[in-house]
Amino acid sequence: MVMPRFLTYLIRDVRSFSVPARIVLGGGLLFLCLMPHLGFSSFFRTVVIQFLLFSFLAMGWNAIGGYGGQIDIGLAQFLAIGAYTSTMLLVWWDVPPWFSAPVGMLLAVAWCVIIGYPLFALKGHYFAIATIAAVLVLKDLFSNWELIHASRGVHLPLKQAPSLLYLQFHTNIPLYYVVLAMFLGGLIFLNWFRGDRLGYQLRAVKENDEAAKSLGIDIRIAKLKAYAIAAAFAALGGSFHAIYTMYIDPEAVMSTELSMQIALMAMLGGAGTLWGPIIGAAILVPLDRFLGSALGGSKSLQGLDLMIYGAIIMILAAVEPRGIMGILQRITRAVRGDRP
Amino acid sequence: MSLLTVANLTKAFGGLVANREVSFTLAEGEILGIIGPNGAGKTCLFNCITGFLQVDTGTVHFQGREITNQPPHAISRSGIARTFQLVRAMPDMTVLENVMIGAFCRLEHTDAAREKALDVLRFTGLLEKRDVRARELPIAIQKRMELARALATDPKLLMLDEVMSGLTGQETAEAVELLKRIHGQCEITLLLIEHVMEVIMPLSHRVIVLDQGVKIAEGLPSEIANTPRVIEAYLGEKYARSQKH
Repeated sequence: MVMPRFLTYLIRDVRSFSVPARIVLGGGLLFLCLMPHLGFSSFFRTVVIQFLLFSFLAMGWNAIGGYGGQIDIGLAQFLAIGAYTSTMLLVWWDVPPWFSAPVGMLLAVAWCVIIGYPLFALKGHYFAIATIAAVLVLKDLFSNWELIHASRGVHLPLKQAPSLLYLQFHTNIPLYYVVLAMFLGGLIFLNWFRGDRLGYQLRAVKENDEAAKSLGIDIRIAKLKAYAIAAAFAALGGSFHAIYTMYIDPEAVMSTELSMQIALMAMLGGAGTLWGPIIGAAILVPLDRFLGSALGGSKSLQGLDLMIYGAIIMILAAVEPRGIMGILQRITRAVRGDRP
Repeated sequence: MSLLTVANLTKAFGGLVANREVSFTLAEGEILGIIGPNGAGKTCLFNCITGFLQVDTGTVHFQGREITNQPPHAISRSGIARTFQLVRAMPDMTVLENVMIGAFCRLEHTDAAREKALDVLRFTGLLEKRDVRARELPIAIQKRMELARALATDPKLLMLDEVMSGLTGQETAEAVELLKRIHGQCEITLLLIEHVMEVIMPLSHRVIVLDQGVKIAEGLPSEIANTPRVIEAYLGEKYARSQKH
């Protein structure tokens, strides 16, 4: 009975939007659908693809980190599982991504259950630290595992002709539509998730876990479910990343920096809100690109991006932990004249 | 038939014994009060029954089934709901959402949970507060919301830990009225911890007195109020002796 409820939530929520919100969202959707045919540069398209991919990843993070309140700084491990599954299945047995991506998602969910069960005995900062540790261990393992080419990384085999089956094309326009579909699907899924029983229960666990227990919520199971959603999102994003870049190595798909970026996008936009991850990605992806192209060449400025991320974290913590969505809510409340 | 049976329950923290060999039964449809001075082990007993603390020895049976040391969520699902001495609200959720969390204990669908929560809010007189965030409510209303939230889990037994403390006279009277309706109309058995004697005495069918972790008396409210050991526990040995002379 999941599919019909997806749709009822979607229709109900769209109806509840104000007219300006409908215009902005409708316009945004139209723009995203038509963007490849509006004569923008290939570079611009690359940035939008990155934006859609990171939005998707941050949406997944939001399930556990935002709604679940468990700050995960190791989401890249699931991304890596997805990326490596799609890549190795293609290298070894010529399996198309349409089939390998779901396998990667399943493996990521299995891995999240294995590590999640002990991890969710930990709370708060300890959980965050443990997720960093988990991804470091896995990265070391991948970097020394000859079977998957260790730290040298893997090139995805190129097909002779463009192929819809293998998602290999002359331009990145088809892949743009693939990631756009993932983005919209993720948005619709999360819209259902936040209004459903699990979404409510996770918020309850985040706000007061003792009370949540007393109301019949199995905290560990609720967190595991959210973690599984995050893992599946990350793995699908990882599969896409592998197909899109055609080369992966442990550093590229499971660096701590990548995990941080994903978490930070959701937090900057507004953790635990539907639009937060998208707003965060819309700011940080172009910023990252700008820093990459403007400063990437000069060695002396390496690490500047990390400094900027650090500054964002500090400003967020001090000013508005609920991110940009929190600031927007304050403004709308002030305009309506409500109490803060 | 007894709904809840606690037998020889003992709980110690290091050398401090918070509950020693406490036994009592609670019949279906009864209102049982637990009284005792500060630190007597009342809240500890609640936490042991509801699975928030692990008991050292002893057993707890609910509806004939052993529930000793089961996790809190399992005990809640089996039909025991509780409130906390210090209110544990979900502060950024609205009153309606708080109560919906309770309703989700039995209900799968959001719409059904919302309907159920609205019914409970109507019953507890909180309907007009439904869209207010819990953090913006005064303590008296938060306490009532917590009660409503527990009620939304459809319990057989409702355990209330000092649900009246910190309320004004008027609020206390309203709360007593609400408890009577919960007992009468919803047919829910009540187990109350209360510090305020004036509240618990007229409301309870039976009263248990704890002192220093031990059950020192049990009986009708009218009997308990005149038991020397109870007066002693509450008012001190000297006072009890001076009363005798």
